[in-house]
Amino acid sequence: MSAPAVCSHCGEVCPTDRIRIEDRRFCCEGCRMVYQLLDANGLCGYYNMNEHPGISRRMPVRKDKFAFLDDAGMAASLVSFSNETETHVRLYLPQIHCSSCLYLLENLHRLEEGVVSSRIDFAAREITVVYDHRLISLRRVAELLTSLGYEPHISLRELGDASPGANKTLVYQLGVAGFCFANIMLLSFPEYLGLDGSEDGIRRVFRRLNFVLSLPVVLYSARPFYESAWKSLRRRFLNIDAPIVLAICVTFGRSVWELGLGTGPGYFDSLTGIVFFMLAGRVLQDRTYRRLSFDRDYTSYFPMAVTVVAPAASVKPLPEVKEGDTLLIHSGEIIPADGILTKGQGLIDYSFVTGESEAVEKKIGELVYAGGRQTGGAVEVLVVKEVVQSYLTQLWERGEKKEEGDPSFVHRLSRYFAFVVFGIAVVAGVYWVLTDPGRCWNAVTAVLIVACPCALLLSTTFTNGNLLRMMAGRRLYLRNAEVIERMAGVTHIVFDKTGTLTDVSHQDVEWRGQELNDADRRAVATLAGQSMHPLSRAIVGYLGEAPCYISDFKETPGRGIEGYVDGRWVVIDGQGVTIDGRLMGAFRFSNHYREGLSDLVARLPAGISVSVVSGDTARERVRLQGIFGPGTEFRFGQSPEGKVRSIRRLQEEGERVMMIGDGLNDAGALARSEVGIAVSADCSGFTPASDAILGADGLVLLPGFIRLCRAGRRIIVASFGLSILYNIIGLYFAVRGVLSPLVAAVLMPASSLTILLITYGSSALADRLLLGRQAEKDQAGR
Amino acid sequence: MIKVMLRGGGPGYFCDTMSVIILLLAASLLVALVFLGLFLWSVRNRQFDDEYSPPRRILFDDEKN
Repeated sequence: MSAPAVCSHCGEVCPTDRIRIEDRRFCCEGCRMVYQLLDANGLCGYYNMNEHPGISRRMPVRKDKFAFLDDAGMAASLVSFSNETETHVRLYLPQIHCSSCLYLLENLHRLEEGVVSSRIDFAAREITVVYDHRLISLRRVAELLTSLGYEPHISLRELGDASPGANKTLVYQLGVAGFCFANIMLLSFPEYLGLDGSEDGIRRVFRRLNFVLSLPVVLYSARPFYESAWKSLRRRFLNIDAPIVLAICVTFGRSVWELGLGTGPGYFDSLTGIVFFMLAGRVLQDRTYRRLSFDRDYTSYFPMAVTVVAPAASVKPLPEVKEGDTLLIHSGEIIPADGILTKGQGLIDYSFVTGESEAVEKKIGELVYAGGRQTGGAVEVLVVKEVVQSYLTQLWERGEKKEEGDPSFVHRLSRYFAFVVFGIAVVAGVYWVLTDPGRCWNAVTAVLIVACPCALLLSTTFTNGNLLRMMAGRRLYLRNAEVIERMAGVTHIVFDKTGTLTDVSHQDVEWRGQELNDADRRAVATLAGQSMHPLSRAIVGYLGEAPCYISDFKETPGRGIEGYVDGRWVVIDGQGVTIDGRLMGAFRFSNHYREGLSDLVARLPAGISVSVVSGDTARERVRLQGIFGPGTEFRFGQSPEGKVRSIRRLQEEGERVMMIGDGLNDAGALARSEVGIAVSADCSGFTPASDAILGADGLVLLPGFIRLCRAGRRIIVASFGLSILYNIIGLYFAVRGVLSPLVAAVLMPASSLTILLITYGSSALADRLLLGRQAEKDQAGR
Repeated sequence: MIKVMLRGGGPGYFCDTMSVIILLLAASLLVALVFLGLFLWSVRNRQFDDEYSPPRRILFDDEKN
């Protein structure tokens, strides 16, 4: 067989070669349509940008899918600006992925009259469309985008308050600190180089200017440190920011004192410099991923509006759906509220809610829970519980919050550090009081200035920031830097099965029955190729594509497919494959496990045990045991509460647990465990609340991630040790009461820069050793 | 402008080194302040939010219909 043909639009393998325009082949009607659309509008330059730029769109758009956007109230929640002629609307398009998307979507005005302009925010995957509402409606805009393969994701969340923008205060504070620091440095140079007495006037002016320039730093830029220190003191706990604030205050106080008496230039340069560097570390560490959300709740999972058929046919916003309403759920839609099936055949995929890997059949009169996705035909559901009281919503609310953990080791380290420093300050103070009381004040303040644990803070924030950045490069996105430390201490890893270890978009297929000859294979493949059901797709993938003439094709959702292929009657259903009335055998489907899982387990650092907790049945136990080897505990058929209990039991045994899951049924366990990692094929897609989001292909790198976090800890300690060296040099001057601003001004940047270089260099090295090598090996193995 | 001030202010006052340095200092601080303002403005204006599209957008042809 030759290499499978790929779609000219999206680059996916074409399941059939019937869909074509001249010699171009497409995987689906949608792609062909997009191609025609682009061709007709002279936008085929799109195809030259990337080799396979489009996004597959296999699901045809339902005609009234966006009917709810005609409702003024619902439209208003999306519109950001409107006047007599123009309306601006911001929509989330999760499918945006490359520069061609950018090109296509920013040329909307050429595809549709009425669109004035459009602009992409790539980082947020959002499009801002400006359109003339006298010519087209919002609904039309949404339909246009959908027809291009970019369906706007409009969730219930949009009805709520707009999410606050990223906090930029820290960046402003950093900017101000940088400005003041640089200028103070400049104004301090004459002082370092030495001014003679005749330039006393200049010296006075420079010193006063330094004081003025340091004010914004002390009063504005250093605020995050004050707030954090105050917060920790109120909780009766000394964190690293408390001694830093003390140092800032002492340094500033002594500098003002010296300025007032005219005895010295003060330490304004060191003070602002250190605030600037510490803020830079903090900005690096607190980076946020705009596309990701670690606190998603059910509102971003549910649709914004649903079709109501009774008591009155309408499109209602979801919160207004009441008990007794009958909803029309189309194929592929999510059931938004618990209800009773009143019409149609339910084939509901609960894999995301319960972890069961197979779709559940529901008959009329049976209860269906919210959160499941209907995969069969359209059904009608009578609502028995309002959305907020549904099973799914309750599941979310119940997620237990972690208790405040032990203070981070950096804070503990800083506390010892603080005690030692205060000790030295007291000893030095007492010594000078006894020998030369005049120098006591000088010596004590100098000790406190030098001994500020800013080096520790710098090494922590820069190392963590760098680790976060490197892990994000390999598609592990941590919620914040604290997670790094918790990850380093993990002793037990709990995996969920469905969607985490398995890839739900693939199924392994096995043929059980008599040997199929070539004609039979072609016939079965052709029939299965007509259906969009995931199992049918798996069969086509297994048999390979073989187009034959087909007629009288019929698909009964939940039952099977049938049709005449080349004059033979073929049926594929729950029983198996029947050709011309003769049962030939059956396909067996099993979970498709992600590649490299046994390697993953083998590579885990010693001392980490593993278990698998699944909501699914035990039928895959043998295969899992083969992958994980002996010593792994398996628990099947676990409810969401059962998973939380498993985690709690492990924690009571003294384990520090990392939970890796993907679905809503894992939400409670993810919240309960020390580190909850949500696995997702598309990181900007929907994931339950968690500490980290991991791209599915990065799962095999997990041992490397854990080792990297552990290395981070060693890097912090090492660079801190080095900075103590600098501190000892500084203390040598300080206890003698002769710490000159020049010594301080040299020591401060020298120690900061060394720390910066060391943390940056060694964390990059650790990344290459621990993750890069593994990634290379994986590539070579393929 | 500085020259004008130097002359206009009379020789004794404006021409000594100190006042020249202070004048230059004020000017340089002013320039630095302008840049600080520009930085704050560009952050507020979301110019650092999306680092992907602007460098690609510039490559697209402006084809007018």
